Amino acid sequence: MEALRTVREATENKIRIRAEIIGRVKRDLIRRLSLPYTEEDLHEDVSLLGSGLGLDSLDALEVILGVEQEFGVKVEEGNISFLRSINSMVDYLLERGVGGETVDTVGVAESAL
Amino acid sequence: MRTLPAHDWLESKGARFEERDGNEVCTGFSDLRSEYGLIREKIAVGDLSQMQKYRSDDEEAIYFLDEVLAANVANIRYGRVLHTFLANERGEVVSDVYVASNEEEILVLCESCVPDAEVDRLLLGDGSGPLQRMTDELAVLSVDGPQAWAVPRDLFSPDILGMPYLSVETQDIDGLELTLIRAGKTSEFGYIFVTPRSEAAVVLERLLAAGEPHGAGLCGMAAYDAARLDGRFFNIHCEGREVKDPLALGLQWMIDFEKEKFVGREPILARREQGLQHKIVGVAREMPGEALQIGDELLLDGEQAGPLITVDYSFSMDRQLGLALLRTATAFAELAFTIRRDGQDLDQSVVSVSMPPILPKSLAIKLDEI
Repeated sequence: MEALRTVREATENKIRIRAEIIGRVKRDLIRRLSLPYTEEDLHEDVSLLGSGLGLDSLDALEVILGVEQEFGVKVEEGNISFLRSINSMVDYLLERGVGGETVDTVGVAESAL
Repeated sequence: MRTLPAHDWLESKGARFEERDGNEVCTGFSDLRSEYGLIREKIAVGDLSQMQKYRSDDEEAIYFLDEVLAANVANIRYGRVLHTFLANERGEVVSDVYVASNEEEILVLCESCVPDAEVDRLLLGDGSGPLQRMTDELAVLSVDGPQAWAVPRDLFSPDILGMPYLSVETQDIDGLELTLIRAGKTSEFGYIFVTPRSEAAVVLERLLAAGEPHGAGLCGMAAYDAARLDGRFFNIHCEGREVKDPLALGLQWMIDFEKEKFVGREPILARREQGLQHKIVGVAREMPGEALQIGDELLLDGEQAGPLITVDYSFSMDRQLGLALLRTATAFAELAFTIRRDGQDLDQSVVSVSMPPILPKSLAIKLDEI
């Protein structure tokens, strides 16, 4: 029982950290891009570029500015791959220590063909 | 069963077929990995003619569609394409829809998880509306992949490279007029060619020939399904068949919530008001262990989280990938779930992943610099 409680606490902590960053990212996106949606309307996997929210290059710059200002993370020049979805933005931030710890995520598969 | 316009030609190329909701679909030609590889590495040439098609040259069609479809169709600009969905009166998604505003014509292409008659009922009604059914008159062909742009460029003009995503224009091949749409559902570059039914095989030959120097090959829906999953595009034939609620599916971006009218609006808005109870999340199989199956129950720290609703193989990730419909409290990436099947806990686990889990090659290609 003690072991299960410890596991559950670890899971809850993981969810709490991720949910907090997701909320901050969503609020920043809605405010900066004047999106006509609530936080709950934005699925974490919705595509940001092209399909989905359909951000153009100017929007992308605005979002990158938001990442730098809101989270204090310097984005490498030309890097837009982390803008594939809200979840990929959150992974990018977690990997850079936002949320209090550096987290290794499952990562991105470029090609195993 | 409604057969594909180029059935005989496809069959001569080794096509395999299956029926989906009363329509013939080409599922593949060779092995799945090779066809998936065409999508992710080169150029895949496919036949999507199982779609339902409608057209109108009546400008009232825009306003009619605005009262039927979920997005703000009234604001569509000339030369652009809108991606949205068609719901039934219960607010259940029945079609994934492109609306193209091309010169004097409105073209509607529907991918559906219901028979033609149901889509006709919702879009044509008693027949007095502005839309004309073109399902049996047109063929819908496509090229997808990081090199797909080479096909329309070589067939038409280098100017094609300036075509924005979700745009439409009229082109011709040796005097044969066709509608060209830049769109796709694989996360790679994609172009759709809408042609008269009688010309489907001829145009397929031309698409293959134009793509041949770049390694193009024929591709069936099985590979498209796999690419849609790891490209995180909504697939009406997979998760759309299992989950009908557009909110749980994450399709809010296709909806204009401010609109006063569209089919299914009231039940969708009522569910939105109640708050989201479940949502779909990507999950990847941890190796080794048993293969995942649709219907497997996911448990988070021993508590039920929700079922696996679709599963496929991602050749880019080299493992099984799926979507699960999870309670919102557990619907987060980077969590480890165990699996229960038929009441038995399996020695197998999955991890929820951020979608899309792949980096498409097309994302690194700038068409204006080619």
